[in-house]
Amino acid sequence: MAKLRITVTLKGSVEDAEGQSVAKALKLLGYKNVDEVRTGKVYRIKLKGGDLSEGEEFCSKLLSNPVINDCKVEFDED
Amino acid sequence: MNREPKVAVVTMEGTNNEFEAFNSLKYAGAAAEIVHIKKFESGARKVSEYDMIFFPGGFSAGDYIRAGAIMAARIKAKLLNDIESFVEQGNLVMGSCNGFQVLIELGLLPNTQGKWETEAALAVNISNRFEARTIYLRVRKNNCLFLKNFEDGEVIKLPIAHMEGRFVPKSQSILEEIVRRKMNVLTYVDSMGKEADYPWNPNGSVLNIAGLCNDRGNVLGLMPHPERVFFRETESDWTRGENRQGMGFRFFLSAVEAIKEKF
Repeated sequence: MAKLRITVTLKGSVEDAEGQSVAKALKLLGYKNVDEVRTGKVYRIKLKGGDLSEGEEFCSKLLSNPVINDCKVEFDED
Repeated sequence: MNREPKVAVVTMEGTNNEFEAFNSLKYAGAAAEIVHIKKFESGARKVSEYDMIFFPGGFSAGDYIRAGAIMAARIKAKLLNDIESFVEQGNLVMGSCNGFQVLIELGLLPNTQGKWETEAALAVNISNRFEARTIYLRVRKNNCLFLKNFEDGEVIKLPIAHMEGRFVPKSQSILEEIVRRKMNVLTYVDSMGKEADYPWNPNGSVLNIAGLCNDRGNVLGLMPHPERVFFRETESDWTRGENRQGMGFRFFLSAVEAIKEKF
């Protein structure tokens, strides 16, 4: 059994409105060192078989829009 | 031929504008039918049985992953070839709000390269808020079959309600093609009809794009909801001003008339 960890984030060129809101909130809480926040989603997927290439397919078929997203597939160690 | 145009309003878990769309199409003179996506997937209904497909607004599959992504993936898996042929044959496809998100994900819009690839995205609003209000739009009708009953340059009001409506093209060249071919038929403007930033543009769309029509004019996608203002009484200022049809009426009448012209 393989466990995959797929992380979908916005490309650096795409403005991250949620990230900006989070950064603002953190600064309002007094964390002066916060410079930028980028958000994303993590999918932790258990497979009965298969490998990372199947995860790549999940990215292209459903989990990410290549116009705005980067999609990183790795084995989930936890 | 003297028959009513057959229109499928495609629904699934989470869509919520199918009844407004059904009624709008019905009162514009179409034989509308609400069809669950499963009926297309199983073959109980075929895309080719219809003259037009309408993708309604709502939150298909809970808008999980991205708005419209799951509905689009299901269509891609089994129906995309049928829908591409349907469009190539000149039949009409329209999507509002979540429906527009589906059309973008499917690559039916803007499709500047004719390869049916995803050339754009509708990202989270720049305000990071769900924006629900009435907005102003300028209509550039070009050859868009859904806009026949509008004046070119006309400024209209329509309701919006979305979290993910910021049009982002894949590249500058795709954006330039959209503009060159005048596919950006609906543009957010201020109350004086001039293009302006937020809040007039409610989501931060590039070039204030609110809606796109394909090269041939038979696929329209837009973030606003014409089906919610088919009747004047459902417009936000219905007690004031002239007594006329609702603003959405002309979209659906245009579509029905365009289909009938083909009969």
